[in-house]
Order: sequence, then structure tokens, then C-alpha cells
Amino acid sequence: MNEGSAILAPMTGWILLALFSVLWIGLGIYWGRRNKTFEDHALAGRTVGLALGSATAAATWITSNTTMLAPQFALQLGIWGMLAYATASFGLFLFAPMAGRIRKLMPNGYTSGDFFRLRYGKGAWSIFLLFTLFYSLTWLVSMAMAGGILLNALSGIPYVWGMSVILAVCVIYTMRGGLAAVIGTDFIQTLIIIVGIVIVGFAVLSNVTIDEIHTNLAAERPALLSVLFPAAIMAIFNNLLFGLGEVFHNNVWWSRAFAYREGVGGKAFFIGGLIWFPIPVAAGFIALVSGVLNVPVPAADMVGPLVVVSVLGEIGAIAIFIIVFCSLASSIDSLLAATSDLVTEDIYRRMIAPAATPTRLKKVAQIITLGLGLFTWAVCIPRIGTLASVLFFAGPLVGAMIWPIITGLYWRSANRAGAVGGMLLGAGVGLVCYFAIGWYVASLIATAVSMVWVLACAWLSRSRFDWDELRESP
Amino acid sequence: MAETADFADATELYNGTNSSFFVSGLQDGDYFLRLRTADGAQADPLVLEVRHQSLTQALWLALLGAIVTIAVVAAILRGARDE
Amino acid sequence: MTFSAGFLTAIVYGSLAWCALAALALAVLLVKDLASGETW
Repeated sequence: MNEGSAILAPMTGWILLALFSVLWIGLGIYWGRRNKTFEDHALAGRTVGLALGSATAAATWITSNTTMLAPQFALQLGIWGMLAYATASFGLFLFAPMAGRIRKLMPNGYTSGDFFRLRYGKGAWSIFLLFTLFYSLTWLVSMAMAGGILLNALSGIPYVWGMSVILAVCVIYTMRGGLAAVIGTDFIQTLIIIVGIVIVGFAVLSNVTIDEIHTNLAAERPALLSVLFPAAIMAIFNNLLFGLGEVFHNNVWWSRAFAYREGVGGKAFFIGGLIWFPIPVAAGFIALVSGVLNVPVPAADMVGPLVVVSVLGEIGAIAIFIIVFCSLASSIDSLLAATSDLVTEDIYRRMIAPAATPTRLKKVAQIITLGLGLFTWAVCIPRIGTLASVLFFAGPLVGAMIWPIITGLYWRSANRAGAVGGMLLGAGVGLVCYFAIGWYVASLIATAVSMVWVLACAWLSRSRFDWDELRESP
Repeated sequence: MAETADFADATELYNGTNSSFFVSGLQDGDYFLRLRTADGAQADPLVLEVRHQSLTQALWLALLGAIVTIAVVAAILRGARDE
Repeated sequence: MTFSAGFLTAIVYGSLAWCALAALALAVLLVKDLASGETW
């Protein structure tokens, strides 16, 4: 992936890494002082405002995938590739009304697991925990691996060191500061990412016009301009539904719904979606410049940094380094926080120690954060390249959960049989299609199958759920 | 790279020291690639067959996807009824 | 059927401008929240 020398000198990389690490950890410790109980640690006191709320919704969804994969998608799937990627913002838009509903139905709720347990019972809850932990852990592992790989490609810092430092920094400030630290750092990281993308984008455009890009593509890579590009068209709804499944089910988003100040949730997620929406195009289009500027691309996943460096030199390399580091940190910290809170609430508190005090729960959450970090580190050390693609198996799993969740929040007639069957059938058929047909249909098929089952069960159902059953005492 | 086996219409893709090169965005067809070292030694030509996925299948899947997505949006926007 | 240069111009400049606006909006929102004490 990196041909010969890296783009930045290792010393520069280390200095940047050190500077930001000190910043994030310092803020984590400082903001962590306000956390006394599990509620403070996991949900920042349930009073997060609109500015921080919007930024964290956007930042968490901007992963290194967004900044590095967007250019790659553009180069592989063309204009449609970028536009299709932008539909991932729909997850945030559609979760906006759901966030308000969740807060209303579950004023004392902590996790999406709480919802499944109370709404559908232990059977559905177990399946949910299995699916969500698989997804969350593979996402965490893929992010940590990406961090090590990217830092190595950008600055020559050895993979194990880069991966370890990123993980360690995120674990430390998440442990110390909880969700408040995650959200606070997310705000800063969002601004850095967005401003960085704008500066880089305009810098690239000062070297080449869109007409030149278009002419070059028409001559050398004509399919990228095609409206009827089959692979791209297939990817659109599959990726859209994968994104919906990710946002609708995962505690990363539910914890925010519980953490935001009353009335803020809907607006914050909507604004978050608005912030996220243009990024795949703004970050992705630079890949299309590689032909015009004669930047040779040895591998698709490095096209973004290669173009930026050819236009902006070392400044560009530093900018990319910072943008990527911020997008990694803003997602890893959220995953660590939300997953440890899920395990603390759903497994430790609900299954093992129901009488644990709030202070004890906070300690447990911190220990689990550390444990998750160590687990991820151990899995990432051998750098098994195919691990990142394991994340795609989660597509059918999360797609199958969309309908149980929506109907569970809004329809009294949605029932256990529908949820359990929807998740198992949808995931099962989806996974079969993943291997039999291809990754580009798996999430779509899983969602469609799950939908049919859930709707049928709801239609045939005699029972009507009592929403008060979701109001568990704290 | 060229579109005919005799390389009559060949264009230069890359000149340098990298050991790999990423190609994308080609339309359906056969493409011919050959590699040449600085002192003229030439490798056997490589034939690259580009065959896009079925457009019909893609459009049917897109239709299914649109239906499922619209259903999701409708369910959420409709919200709860029997309060 | 291909995407035109005009379309590409629109989405690229549009998305960059949108991003710039987003950064500004976030800054304004933060100032508002800090002023009313509702940051978190």
C-alpha cells in the first residue's frame, strides 16, 4: 500500500500523535471530574445541549471509513459511489424522530438493550445482544486496525505502535471522562474534520477545474460518469439499509438519545445528518482528480492521501494525518463508551448484580472499557487483513433489526414472535445471500425478509403492548 | 494499455517505480496491457476483460430497495397511532 | 447516459460550501448554548 517512503517523516507523525493525545487525555480527565455516578459517566447527566449533541451525532458517524473510503468509492464506483455513500446520513435523519420517541417512552432508560428486554422479553434480548456485540466489536476492531494501517502509510510509524497508541489514548480518556469526554472531544474533532475537508477541497480545486476532471474521466475512466453503472446502483439501497440498521439498533446512538437534554434529541440528530450529508462528496471527489494531476494510484484505498499530498505537499500530509486521527478517535471513543455501558447495564447490572450502587456501576463501566480496549488490542496485533471485511457480515444482522425496532417503538401490535422471527429469519437469509450472491444484496435481503415477517406477525397479532412497561424505575 | 491486440491505439498509463497500479471506471470490453522496463525489455501482454454486472438485476434490486426504504420512512413518519 | 460536468460542479462546490456552513453553524450553536448555560 505504501510504495517506498511514507508521506510524512515518522518524527512528524509522532509529534502530531503526541500533541493530540495529550489534548484528548487532558480534556478527558478534566471533564471526567463532573462524573460521580453511572448515570453521569454513561449519559453525561442526561442534559447534553444542541451544539454538542449535533456535533457528536455527526462526528461519531464520520469514521476513518468516511474520510478514506469516500475517495476510494469515488474512484471505484464514480459519481454514483459518492452519492450512494451520502445516503448513510439517512440513518441520522430517520433516527431523529425516533430519538424523541425513545426519550419519551423510556425516561430512565440506559441502553438499546433495555428496550429489547422490556419490549420483547429475554429471548429477543439475547439475540439482540449477540448481534449488537458482534457488530460493535468488529467495528471497533476494524477502526483500530485502520488506525494502525493509516498511521503507518502516512508517516511510517510501525503498525503495532500506531494502533496501540490510538487505542490507548481513546481508552484512557473514555475511561476517565465517560460520555461527557467522548461528546466534548467529538465537538472539537468535528470542527477539525470539516474545516480540514473544506481547506483540502478548495486547495485541490485551485489546481484543477471540474471541466478538466470531467474531460479526463470521460477519456480514461468513462464508467465513473455513467448513470447506469450496475455495481453502483446495486450498492445504493444495500448500503442505505446497512446504515439504517447500524444507527437504529446500536447503543452508540441510543445512549445519545438518553443523554440529550429534553427536546434536543430530534433536532440534534437531524442537524447531525445535515452536517454529515455532504462529506462523502466533499471528501470523495478528490480521488477523481488523480487522472488529471497524473497521480499514480497503486491501491484504491490510498487515493485520498496521495492526491492531497501531490497538491499540498507536506502541509497536506499533516492535514490528512490530523483529519484521519480525529475521525478515528471520534468513533473509537464512542464505541468504547457505548459498548461498555451496554455490557455494564445489560449484562452486569441486569443479569449479575441488580443491587449494584451507581458508584459501583461507574467503576465497572470503566473497567469494562479497559477490558474492551485490551481485547481489541489483542485481536488487532496479528493484523489479520481480512478482519476488516468481517464487519460486512454484520450487514444482514443489523438490517434484520430495523423492523423489530421501528414497529417496537410505534406499534402496540408488534410482538415477540415478530421480533425474534424477524431477526433470525432476516439475518439467516441475508447471510446466505451474502455468500451465495454477494455483499451488495445481503443487507437489503435481510431487511426485506425481516420486514415481511414482522409485518405479518403484527397484522395477525391479538396482543397490544402497554407502553408503560417501558418505564422502568431507575 | 490499448483496446486492440496490436497496441495500435496504446496510451501510457504509468511510468515509474511503483509495483502496482489501480485501474477503474472502464466500460465493458477487452483491454490489453503490457509492461516495459527502462531498457526496453517487454513482458507478454495481459488481457483485461471488463464485464459489468447485469443492469437489469441491478435495477430490480434498486426497486426492491426503494420499496423497503419507503416503507421504513413511512412507518417512522406515521409514528404511533393508538395512543 | 452520463453525469454532466455541470452536475459535478454543482455537487462538488455545493458540498464544500455546505461543509463550511456546517462548521459555522456548529460554532454559533455552541456560543448560544454556552450563553444560556445549556451546553451539557
